[in-house]
Amino acid sequence: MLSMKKIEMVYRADMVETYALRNFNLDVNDGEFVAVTGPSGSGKTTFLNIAGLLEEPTSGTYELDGESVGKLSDKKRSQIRNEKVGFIFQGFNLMPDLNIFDNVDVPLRYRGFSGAERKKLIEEALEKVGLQSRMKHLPSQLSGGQQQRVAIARALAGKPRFLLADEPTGNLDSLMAQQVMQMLEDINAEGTTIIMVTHDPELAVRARRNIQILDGSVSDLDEMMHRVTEKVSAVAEEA
Amino acid sequence: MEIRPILSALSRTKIAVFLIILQIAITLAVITNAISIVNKNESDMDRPTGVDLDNTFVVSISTVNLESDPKEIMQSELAKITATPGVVAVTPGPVVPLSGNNWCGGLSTAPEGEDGTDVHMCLYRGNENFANVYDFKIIEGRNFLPEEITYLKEGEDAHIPYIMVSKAVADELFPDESAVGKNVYDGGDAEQRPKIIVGVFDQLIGGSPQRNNPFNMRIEGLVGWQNFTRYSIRTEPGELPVVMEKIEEVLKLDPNRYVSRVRSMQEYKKLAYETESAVNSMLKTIVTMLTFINILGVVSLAWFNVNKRRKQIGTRRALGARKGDIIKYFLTENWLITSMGIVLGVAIALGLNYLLDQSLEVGKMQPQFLVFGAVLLWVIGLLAVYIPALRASSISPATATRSV
Amino acid sequence: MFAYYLRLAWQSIKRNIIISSLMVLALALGVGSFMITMTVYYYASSDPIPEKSDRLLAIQLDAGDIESDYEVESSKDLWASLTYLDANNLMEEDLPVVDKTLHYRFGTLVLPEDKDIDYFGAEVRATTRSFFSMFDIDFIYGGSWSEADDEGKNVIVINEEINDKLFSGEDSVGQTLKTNDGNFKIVGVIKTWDIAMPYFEPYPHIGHEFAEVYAPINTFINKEPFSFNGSMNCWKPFDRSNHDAFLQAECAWVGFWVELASKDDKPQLIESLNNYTANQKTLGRFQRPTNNFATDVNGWLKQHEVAEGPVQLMQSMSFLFLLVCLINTIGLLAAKFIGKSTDVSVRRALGASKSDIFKQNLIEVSLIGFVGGLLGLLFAVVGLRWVRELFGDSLERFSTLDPTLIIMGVVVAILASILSGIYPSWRAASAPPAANLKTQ
Repeated sequence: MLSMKKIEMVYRADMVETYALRNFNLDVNDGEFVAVTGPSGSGKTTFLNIAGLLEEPTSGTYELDGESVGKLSDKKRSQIRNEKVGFIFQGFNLMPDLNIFDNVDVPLRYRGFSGAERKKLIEEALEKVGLQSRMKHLPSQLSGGQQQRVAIARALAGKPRFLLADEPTGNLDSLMAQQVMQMLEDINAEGTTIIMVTHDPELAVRARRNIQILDGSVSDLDEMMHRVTEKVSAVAEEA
Repeated sequence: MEIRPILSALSRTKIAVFLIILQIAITLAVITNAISIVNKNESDMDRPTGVDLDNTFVVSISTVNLESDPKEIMQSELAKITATPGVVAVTPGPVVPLSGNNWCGGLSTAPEGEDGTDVHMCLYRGNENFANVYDFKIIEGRNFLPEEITYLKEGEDAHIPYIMVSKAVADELFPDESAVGKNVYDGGDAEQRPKIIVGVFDQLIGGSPQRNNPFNMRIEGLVGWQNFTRYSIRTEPGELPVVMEKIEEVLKLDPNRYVSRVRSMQEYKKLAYETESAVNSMLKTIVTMLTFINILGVVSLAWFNVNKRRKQIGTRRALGARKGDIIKYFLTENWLITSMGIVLGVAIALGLNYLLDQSLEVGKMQPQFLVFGAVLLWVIGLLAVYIPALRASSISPATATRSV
Repeated sequence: MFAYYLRLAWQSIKRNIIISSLMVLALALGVGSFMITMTVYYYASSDPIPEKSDRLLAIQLDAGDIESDYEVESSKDLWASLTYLDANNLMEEDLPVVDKTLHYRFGTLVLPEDKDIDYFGAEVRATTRSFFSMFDIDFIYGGSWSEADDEGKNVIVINEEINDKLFSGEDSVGQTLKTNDGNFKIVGVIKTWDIAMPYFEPYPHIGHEFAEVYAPINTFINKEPFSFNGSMNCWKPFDRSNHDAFLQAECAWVGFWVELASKDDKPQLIESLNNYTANQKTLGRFQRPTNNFATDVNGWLKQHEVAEGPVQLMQSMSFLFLLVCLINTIGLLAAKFIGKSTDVSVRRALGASKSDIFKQNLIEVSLIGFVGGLLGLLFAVVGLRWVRELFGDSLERFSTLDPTLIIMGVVVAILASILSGIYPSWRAASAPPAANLKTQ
């Protein structure tokens, strides 16, 4: 599904170069639910931006769905983002002037669907998050949890294969966070690959796979555990 | 306030800053040139004219039956006008100051074929009352004597022996001596008969004040008995409206005469400077609108900067900057931008002035207009930036820590 | 997508209603004032007779005084009229032209037979029958006078206004117009003339009044006392009591125009004029170097700088004002789009490409430009009325917006707003898409 090899991301400001990612390698398979943790400034968001084609890496190869997406035009990248990727943000990022229906409509507009198709997809998506009755409301009329559910509906409406969530529960109280997390798990269960950046270890352990980013590189906890176990068993066999 | 950090902050929004500098510069150029032109026009309009504007008017009149004798008609009309209460003096004469009509012709100190000084000027004609109708002073010599006035019928050619000249003309013709009593010659006179200058008057404006040297005038002691003529009439102070009405009434009694126009000298002056006053009104409007637009520009840039730098401002506040420091920061920033705009603007203003002077002869820009424009823009800038700066200063220090 | 962008633009304008109104206002002021001066310039500089302006030429001859040592570099340096002697001679001369005419103006007093109508002054253009066809003047009734009338008959062509006043707009051909210069048989009534000024005058300028009636020049040329309105320049003394001497005098005051079959005939025309002045030299006239000119209509208007002076001044000032308004709009737009940067980032994350965002912004900008343009036109209409009041009647023919000007106004406004919108729209579209997603 997603394969990053030797990704490097360097930010240049004035004379100083800052490595956000360095020799970053990661493979994510279809249907995985990956939680990404790591301290502030470790490169979590940079990774997410590259994964979602919002930023281009300085070097390295990135394949999404078997297609190399490293050096594509802005138009093509936008199209891939639109069709294959859904984003959920900590701050929800709903458009304050658009009602719920129109918010969910945004990615579908760029997809070029007809009015009838869009209506069907929007209603489906809102039904999935249980907000079909609030279609005409403005975001400001909804609670934080409801707003995040709208954001999830917006991310899902175009049926992307791949969902990127940046601290999706960061601005929510724990009850609402639980609901949103549950929703993400359900979505994952239906086959959508999810990568979620989070601070919360409790949420992270609910994911099927955990990776940690430290100083711009991956340390895959599961893989490490796996290797440790292998080693242990090998030792045991030898013994 | 330290300027260096402001400069380095400005250099980060180069284009926005450049645009506002350009806007201020062009504004300064337009405002200063407009003020310069308005000022020139106004000082032209305020020149002394030699006309008692408030108490003088002119009647234009013509004859229905061209076979009748204009001499008889005019003599009777002059008598009627003189007899009207409130009339100070009346003179017939085809040309009227500020009326747009000009009769012009040069005079020379020597007859044609000999070496002399030639001076170009325009002329008025009238009788011995001309000097009382208009408001000039005879500074040398004297007025025409009644017997010095030449009377002639339409189509007749006559020698006009007695003239008065303005001081401007006298100084040019006879720079080192008095012009009074001197002989001068009209290039248009086939016989080159001498004319005697009997008097020199201080000033009387010509028919078109826009001409070069509008005060180069002479007055010829001549009355033509003509079918179409004008009477210039001066009234007692304050009597003008009544006398105008009365005279029109009296002259209209003759069915053989048609009064085509009765117009006060104030009206003539207004019409003579119609273009200048219109241009002035338009320029003043443009200056007002520019000032308004400029306030918009400064306020919006300041607003934009405040919004963009909310976090930075919060951080400064968190690090101990007082509200006054933040306000001072924005005021200083604005002052710097305005000053850069003014420096560029002075250059553009002088360039524009040069171009306008080349093609339209608007005159050289006076430095005080540049100073005025610069001060105006500084004040506008500081006033306009004050409210956004005040808003910036009220940004809470917590802004620095709030965002993720 | 266009309708969608239009809806978004409207929403965005509503959200920032103050800044949007200010932008519309700034654009409208700039466009409005530019339109006002543009209108005046348009009328002052537009070709009054496009179908033949390059074939109608005003003639100037340097018949000046040998003693006046002025330099003649172009036709601008000469009197704009001819002496009656030369104009009359050239009418007889065999010139390579289709038609020619001479003309001057004077005032008369019209004496209506209807006692309810007061006497009124009218200006007469004394000319030849060819004047009307040369300058393409349309008749409502009748037409020009005959060749025989040109010899000096009392015939007259009146304008629509006088015909309305005296004959209530009826066909007055054959009726008599009484003036204090005599009685004239009306042979034609011309339509109100839809040009900015009498461009064929020796000294045309904005605000110049049109002559109201037209009559054969030979009917008046020998009349005493002789009357004349306009500019007369004499450079040699003559006996002023003798009318024949005046007609022979070295005084320039008569306008002279020719119509060529083709503008390419101009060299032959100049050659004929040079032959004429060479002949005159042998009679002791034209002692100065040969400086003969034939200037077409547009050249004539340019030579007399009718579109310069205050017209030019106000045009350059209003152009600079428009420029300031545009720069200001760029600043306001930049500020506005910065306010929208989160919106842009979210759209980018949801799949909008740079060009999608650019288009969306540009449509918003154009909408503002369109509204600004319409408001600007309104300002221009009101402003032109005001300007007309300022300048008096002299601008009467200069102050209406015709369709060309209206279209131009809208185009200027939209072009202006797009021009000022391209940079901020592009800036906003090309911001890094991930830049504004994190903070709340």
